[in-house]
Parts: sequence; C-alpha cells; structure tokens
Amino acid sequence: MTHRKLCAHGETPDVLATGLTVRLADRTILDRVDLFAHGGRVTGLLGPNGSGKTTLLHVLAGLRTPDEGRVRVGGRTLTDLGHRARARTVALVEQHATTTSDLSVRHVVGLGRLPHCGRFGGRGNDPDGEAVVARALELVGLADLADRGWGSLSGGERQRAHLARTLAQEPRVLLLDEPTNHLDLGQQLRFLSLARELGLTVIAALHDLELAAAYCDDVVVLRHGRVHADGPVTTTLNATLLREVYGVAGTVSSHPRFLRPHVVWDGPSQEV
Amino acid sequence: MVAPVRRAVGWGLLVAGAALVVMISAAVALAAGSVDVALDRVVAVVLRRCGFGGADVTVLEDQLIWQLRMPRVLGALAVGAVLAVCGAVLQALTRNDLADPFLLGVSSGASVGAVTVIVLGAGTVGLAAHTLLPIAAFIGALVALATVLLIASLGGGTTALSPHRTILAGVAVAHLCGAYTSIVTLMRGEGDAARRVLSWTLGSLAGLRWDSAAFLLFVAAIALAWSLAYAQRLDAFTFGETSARSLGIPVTATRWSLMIGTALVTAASVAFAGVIGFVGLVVPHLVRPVVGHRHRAVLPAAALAGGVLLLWADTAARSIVPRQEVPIGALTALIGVPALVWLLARRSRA
Repeated sequence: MTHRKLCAHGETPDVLATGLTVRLADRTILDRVDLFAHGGRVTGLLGPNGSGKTTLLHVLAGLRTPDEGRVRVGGRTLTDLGHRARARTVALVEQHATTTSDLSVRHVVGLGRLPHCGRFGGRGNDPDGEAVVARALELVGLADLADRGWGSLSGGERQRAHLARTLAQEPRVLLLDEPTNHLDLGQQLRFLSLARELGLTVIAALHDLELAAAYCDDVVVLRHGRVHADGPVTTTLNATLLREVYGVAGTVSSHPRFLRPHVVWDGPSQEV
Repeated sequence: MVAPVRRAVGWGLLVAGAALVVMISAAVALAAGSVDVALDRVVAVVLRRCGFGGADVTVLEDQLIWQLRMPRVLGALAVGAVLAVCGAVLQALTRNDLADPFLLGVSSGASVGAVTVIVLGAGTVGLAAHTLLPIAAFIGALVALATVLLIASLGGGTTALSPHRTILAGVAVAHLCGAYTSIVTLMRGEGDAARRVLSWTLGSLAGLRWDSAAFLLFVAAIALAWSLAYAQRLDAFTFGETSARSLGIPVTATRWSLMIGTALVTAASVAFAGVIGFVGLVVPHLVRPVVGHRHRAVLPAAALAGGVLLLWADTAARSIVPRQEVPIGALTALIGVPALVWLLARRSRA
C-alpha cells in the first residue's frame, strides 16, 4: 500500500529503500521500513524521539549497513558503491556536528571535495574543486565569511557551512538530520527555504510539524521503528496522527492563506 | 599566475627558515656540553666530514663532535619529530586534546621489556645490555599494543577501536604494565637497578651511536611521509566519525592503519630513547595556533617544532649540571607543563 501511495507520481523514485531492518543487541531499531523519495522533492521524516529517524538517515547515507533490506539511489544499490562513490551520491548534514578546531569556513566546505579527490587526498583529479567550493559558499550566502574561523560562526552560519560542505560533495541526494534544531525561527525558515530551492532530492528528519507542513512535499512517519504513515504532507498530517504518534490532542486545519496543513495542539492526549 | 608564484615563494621561505632554525640549533647543540667547543671548530669539523677543507681539525675534536655529539643531535631531532607527529595524528583521530603517542600502551609495554633486561638479566642471553635493551623495549611495546588493540576491538561492530574504548584499553594495559615494573624493580632489583629503571623511564639520548641515529632518522622520515599521506583524511575527522564516514572516509580502516602505524614508530623511538613525555602531547597544540589546523601544515610543523624542542631539551640535559645528566623527560615536562597551562588559559579566554 505504501508503495502505491508514494509512487502515484508515475516515475521511479530517486531513493528506493525496501524492508530496512536494523537490530542492536535484542532491540529492533528499524523494522521493515520502506521509503521512497522522488527526485527534486522534499520528503520529511517525522516521528517522536527514539522512533528511528537518525538510524534510518544513517542507513540511507550508507553509514550503516542494515541487517535486512537495501537502499537503491538512482537505480544503484548503495552498498555496491565504494566509500567515495557513495559520498558523491548521498550527503548528510548532521544534527549538531561541531569541533574545537579552528578551521576556516572555506576549508570546512572544502572537505566536501574529499570524495572527488584521490584516495590520499591528491587534488590532481579535482581541477574544478575550488570553483565548486566557491559556488557552494555563494549559494548558502557565506562567501563573505569564507576566511573566518569556525569558532567565530553563529549556530545558523555553522549549519549553512555544513550545508555548503554537503553541496560541495555534489550529491544526488541530500539528507538532513534535524538541521534546524539549534536555530532561531528566522534561521530555521531561511535554512529550509534554501534546502528546498536546491532542486536536489532532500530527505529531512524534522521535529517541528509546522516546519514539515511548510517545507515538505511528502512525509514518512516513524513510530517504534516502523512506518506508521506516509504520503503527501497535505493528507498525511492530521489529528489522528498527532494522537497516535505523538500522544498529542489537537487539530490540523488547512492554513487560511498558504493552503498547507496548520497544526494546533491542545495538550497531551489522555491515552498515550 | 601571481597567486601560485607567491605561494611557492612563501613555501620556499618557510622551508628555508625551518632549515635555518634546525641548523642553528644543531650547531649550538654540537658546541655545548661538558666540554665547550667554539662554534667555528664545530663548523670546521662538519665541513671536513662533508668534504670541504678543514685540514686543521684535531682527532679529538672530530671524535667529540662528529662521533659523540652528532648522532645524539640527529637522534633528538628524529625522536622529537616522531613523538610530535604521532601526537598530532592521534589527537585528530580520537578528537581528544589529551591524546599522546603513548595512548596505546606503547610506553608502558616498552618499560616492561626494559625493566626485564635491566633488573632480571642483561648478559643472560649473551648480548650486551645496550643491544638487548632496545630490542626488549620494542618487543614489550608490541605486546602491549596488541593487547590494547585486542581489548579495544572485542565484540567487533562499529564500536571496535572507537576512541573511547581505545583510551580505556590503553589505560588498563598501562596500569597492568606498571604493576609488573614496580614489582620487579622493588622485589628483584639489586644495586642501582631501581635508579637505572627510573632513568630509563624518564628517557635519555645518552650513548646514542651513528647506527641508531640513522635508524631513528629513517623512522622519522617514514612517520612524516606516512602521516602526510593521511593529512586530508585526518582533516575529515574534524567533525567526528559520522561526518568522516559521510565524506567517504573508510573510518575503521583509517583508524587501524594510523593507530598501528603511530604505535610502531613510537615504539621504535622509545626503544632507543626511553619514555619522553609531553613532546607528543604539547607540541601539536603549540603549532596549531601558528600554522592553522590543516594537517598538511600541522604535521610538518609539529615534526620541526618537536625535533627542535627535544634537541634543546637534550642539550640542556647534558650541559646544565656538570658531569651529570638531567633526565630529559623531566626537562620536557618542565617546558611542557607551563606551555600547557598557557594554552589552557588562552583557550578559556577565547
């Protein structure tokens, strides 16, 4: 049923994950998860804490091999690709990756060229690397800060630098793990608008349902490591979902001006 | 075309400056010691050996400067470079500012080997102590390393050789080795065995000969070239393991190869020089504010600074007190601790 719903666009999905299962000791973190993401669309990954969003993103990024199931990106199985070919296909912005090291922004973004360089980092086979880095900095609006040290950046600038780094990888698919967690509202909106405008296939784990409603085309909702619901955000996000997945009583209406779902919560629901 | 030329000139100046610092330090070190020699005599001896004149050099001068002091100077440069490079690599790999080359139990394992020879029997296998000691120390280091890696990779999976587990395993093995060395030294040690054990543990470059010095230089060259080949991968660890993985770095393979590689070259230098602390810990922190955080710059800078620092420390060790050597490990700590404190103060202000 999942398959039929999301394939309604009539094209082969860019990311096609089937039957993903991950176990850790005796716990099942992901349980036969199917996920389809279409080219150029933003797919939101929703669900409460501990529902398996990050693990799923790591599997989709090829950082973790699932115990069962497989991920195909652009028709190729992810685990068949070498480390560097994989990093040229999918890129991940982590939730909160920071460092005490004071690298310049340009160099941080330049790390994204590693999968395009030689095995031991030779720049010889990456002649347009500097141009790609410059373009990525331009895109996220950090060109003016390129020579600043990491330590002097604000939270929003750091996340944009990470986004630029992943863009420098020139991936087909962009994975975002709660990228707006430490940002203020304005930065959250700017970051997600930017990610949306890139035209890449984006899969983003999000906590904020209002943001998901505004920036995602489709959503996949996880609960206890299983797909609880999936489909276009306009039909999938509803009051039943709020109650069943988050244990929250509320209503989801259509936003009067923007025609997107609008979440209003009353409080925790009685039966969790 | 202007920028590349300027960059090349900049690099040329940098290399020339580095060579100058090394040469001046070496000249001073060759001149200083229990018997002071004038600098022009040092230059004459070195020039004669390199085949440029210097006919008036006496046999005694040649013996003192070329045969006794030169190997020691080169050995100090090499050992300091190895320790500082390994420290920089391990700090990046574990993302731990306190990582040093002895993280994997190399020093404590080497001590087990050294103590065994010093206390339980130099000469029992028909080899002189100065031949047997480095071999025993090296073997001890390898056994300790293997034990640490075994503990750190127990159970396999993604936690294998994770920084956290590796550091814990290193600490555990170090304590085990420490127990052995103290029991053996205190219960079986006779005469001045305890003093010799202590002096070995604090490191010394005394008695280093040309063959050992040449070997140490070779080890240092390998260490620098090997780590430079990994410079960009080390940069990729800046934001942690997940980020390195997502940049296409084979994290586990990189860890194994760098941890074993650094441990081997450290073991080689510990075998000849004993345990010299603080160089590997502090020098990387000292060079980063100067040359930046990219490993392509940090590694050569650390090699240079570590080598020169240890050379100065060794020169001081053999010249401060007449007819006696101050343990070099004590001197590096005397320099290293204030440097570390200064760094901490600077960072907390930032």
